[in-house]
Parts: sequence; structure tokens; C-alpha cells
Amino acid sequence: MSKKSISYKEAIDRINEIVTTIEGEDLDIDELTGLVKEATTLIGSCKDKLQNAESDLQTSLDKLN
Amino acid sequence: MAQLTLFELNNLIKSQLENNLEPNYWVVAEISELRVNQKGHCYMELVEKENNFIQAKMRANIWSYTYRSLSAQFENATGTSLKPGIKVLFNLSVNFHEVYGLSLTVNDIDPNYTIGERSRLREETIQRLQQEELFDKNKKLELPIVPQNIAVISSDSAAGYGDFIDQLRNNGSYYFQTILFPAMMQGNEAVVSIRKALKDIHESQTNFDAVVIIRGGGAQADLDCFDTYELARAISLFPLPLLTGIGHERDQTVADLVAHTSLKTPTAVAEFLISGMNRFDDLLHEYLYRIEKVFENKLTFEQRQLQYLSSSIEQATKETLKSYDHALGQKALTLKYVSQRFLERQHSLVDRLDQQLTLIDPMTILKRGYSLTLKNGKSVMNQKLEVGDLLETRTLNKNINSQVTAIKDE
Repeated sequence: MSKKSISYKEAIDRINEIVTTIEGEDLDIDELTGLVKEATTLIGSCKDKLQNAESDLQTSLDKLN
Repeated sequence: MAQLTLFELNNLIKSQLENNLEPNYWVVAEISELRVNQKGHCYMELVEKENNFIQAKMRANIWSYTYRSLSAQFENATGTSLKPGIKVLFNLSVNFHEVYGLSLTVNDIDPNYTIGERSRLREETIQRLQQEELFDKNKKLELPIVPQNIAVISSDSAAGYGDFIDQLRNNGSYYFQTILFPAMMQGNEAVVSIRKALKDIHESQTNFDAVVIIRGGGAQADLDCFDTYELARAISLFPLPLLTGIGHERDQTVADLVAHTSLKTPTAVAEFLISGMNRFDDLLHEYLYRIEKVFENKLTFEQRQLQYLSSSIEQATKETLKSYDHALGQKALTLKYVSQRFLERQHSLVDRLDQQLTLIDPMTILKRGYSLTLKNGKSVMNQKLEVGDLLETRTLNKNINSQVTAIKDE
């Protein structure tokens, strides 16, 4: 799954899934490390999206006034 | 028995008369005949009547020099010439001529008697008309607002008729249709002649709005016919309004009194008719003006109404738009608030996941200086270990391989 095609909602679901997996399963440490890296990247991209959404929202609302 | 010649007898009579009579007398008599000869001498027949029965009669004359001044004075004072049918107070001398016999010579006339007599007759006529309720009859007729068809009774040769027609024709604005019914306007025939004209008009009365009786001429003219009961009655009973312009300076004649409207001269009658037209014209203009005013006011009112309505619409629209705008503003605020809240929630969700991940990240433990011991890549905690097993130990920056030499359970 490439970064660009994934939606925010899918990203959040994936992060939750990873958290559940990490907490519930006995994982290989390398697997674990990979999942953590993936989740961290997704979190970063979600933060970016939130940041962008916030500024887009502000721009749109500014147009109304 | 002494004999007298006729001349002696006549002389005797003459001297007896001269001796026994006063030089002159004031005598009231009615003129029954009158003629003036070429030399200007006036010869009259004087009578006194009682109920149309002649009680006394005598020839009388006025010598030309006296006649000229007396007839002029009389006409001036009475408005009537000396003529048959009138009663006059004469100053007379009684003469007896041997050849021509008894006659009277007029020295003077007191016109006041005739004036009084005529005014008495006039008064009687007026009273009789009033008693017979004929006095106001013609006055009660309504003169049409615009009397344009006029029947004219006049002498066709009278200057007054010409003046009347000229005045009507040259008024510059209005057309009058006039038809002349010629009549004698003075003398004994006048009453019959005017009544005949009225009868002719009566026969075609629907063609006319009013009748005008006019007569030109000076103040001295003979107006007695206009004081007669017969003419006054005919005027009063006439079915059309009748206007007089008889042209005189003395008091109104009886005809004037019973007419619908009396004016002094024919020209005045014409002016009266024209001024009636003018008044009507003015009235029409006034109506027109009033209609215009009403129309203008109505127009102005409607324009204001429209203005008011259009500004009301504008105002209402503005207010509606404003309220919509306000509502939109509210919605935008809500949107902003909701969106921000949503983003905040997402932020905290992501932050929480971040922390969670950090906690479970093995690197976090290694960073604090701990190490992980693995057998076949997995933690040794849940695996069975035997002496001689190969183990891998990870620190933050090192991978250490070792072999188990002893195992102690704790």
C-alpha cells in the first residue's frame, strides 16, 4: 500500500490494527519493529493531513467573511 | 225786429267770447287726430271721452313756430311725440273767426300731466299683470346655458339691428344663428306687428333658444307700445326666454319688466349673449383645469405609492438577505467550531496512538539502556531454554551472540 493512495480513515484503521496486533500477538521483534515503523509513518502522514485540513478549513472560512 | 248780417252776428259772438272768457285756460284733452302741414302748422282734433263715448270735441292748432319748440320739449320730457291717443294738458286760447268759426290755439303744454297719466296707466298695467300672475312668467323660464339660436324681432332697417348683428358676428369666438322676424317697432301698428312676429316664432319655437326684441334709435323715440298690456302679456306668456334691448334712457318699459332679461341697448343684448358664452367657456376651462389637477394629484400619489412599494421591497429584500447572511455566518461559525473540534479530536487520537506506539516500541527500552535477549528472533521469556542454546542480545547499538552455560529458575 503506497502512502499517497491511502485515505486518512484507512490510515487510522491500519494504525489501530497495528496497535491491536502489537498488544495482542507474540511478534517477532523485527516484525514488531517494522509494524511500529509503519504505524509511525502513518501517524506522521495523518498529522500532516490534519495540519493541511486545518489550514484548508481556515482558508475556506476566511473566504466567507 | 232788428236784423243782423252773418258777419255782424259772428262779430257779436267774437266780442262776447273775448269779453267773457279769460285770455287762456289750462285744459286736459285727448288728441284724436293730428296732422302737420307743409308750413309746419299743426292741426288737431281734441276730444274728451267717457267709456269710448265722445262727450266733447273741438279743433285746435299749434302754429309752426310754437309747434317746433313745444313738440321738441314734449318729446324730451315724455319720450313720446304728440300723437293721437294721448291725453295732454294744454294752455289754450279760445278763438272765434268770422269765416273759420270756433277753434283753440295752443300756447303751451305741461308735459308733466302726460307723464303722470302715462305712469298711472303703466302702474295699472303692471298691477293687472301681477294680479293675473303674468308678471314673472317669462323670467321663470330657464335661459339655455349656450343660447346660439336667436329669433330677432326688429325693424330690418333699424341701426340697432345692424349693431346687434355686427356685435354678434365680430365676437371672434362664437357662432350665433339669428333669424330676423321683421316688425314695426313704434307707432300704433307696433303692438300688432310685434305680436304677429311672436306668433310666427312660436310656430317654429323648437328652432330657437331665445327671442330678442331690439330697437335702435334715440331717447326721443316713441315707446308707448312697449307699455301696453297686450304686448306685455304676449311677452310674459311666450314659451321661450325673451330678451329686450329697446334702446332708451328713461325708466324701463313694461315690456322690459316682464321680459326674461332686459338690457338698455341692442349692443348690450349682444354683449350679454357673448358674455354668457364666455362664462360657459371659462367654466369648461375651469372643469378642464380641475380634471387635470385631480389627474395630476392621482398620478403623483400613484408614483409615490410605487416609490414607496419599491423601496419597501428593496428594504425587505435587504433584510431577508441580511438574515440569510447572518444565518450563513452562524452556519460558518458552527462549521468552523465543529471542524476544529473534529480536528482536535483527531489530533488527540493520533497523539494517543503515537504515545501508545512509543510505549510498546522495543527501541524505547533499548534507548533507556536495557537489552533484549532473543532465541530464534523471539524473546526468551516464554521459551524453553537449554544449556548450549545460542542467544542473541540486542542493545541500542550492539548485537551480541552468546551461548547458555547455566539456567536457574527464579
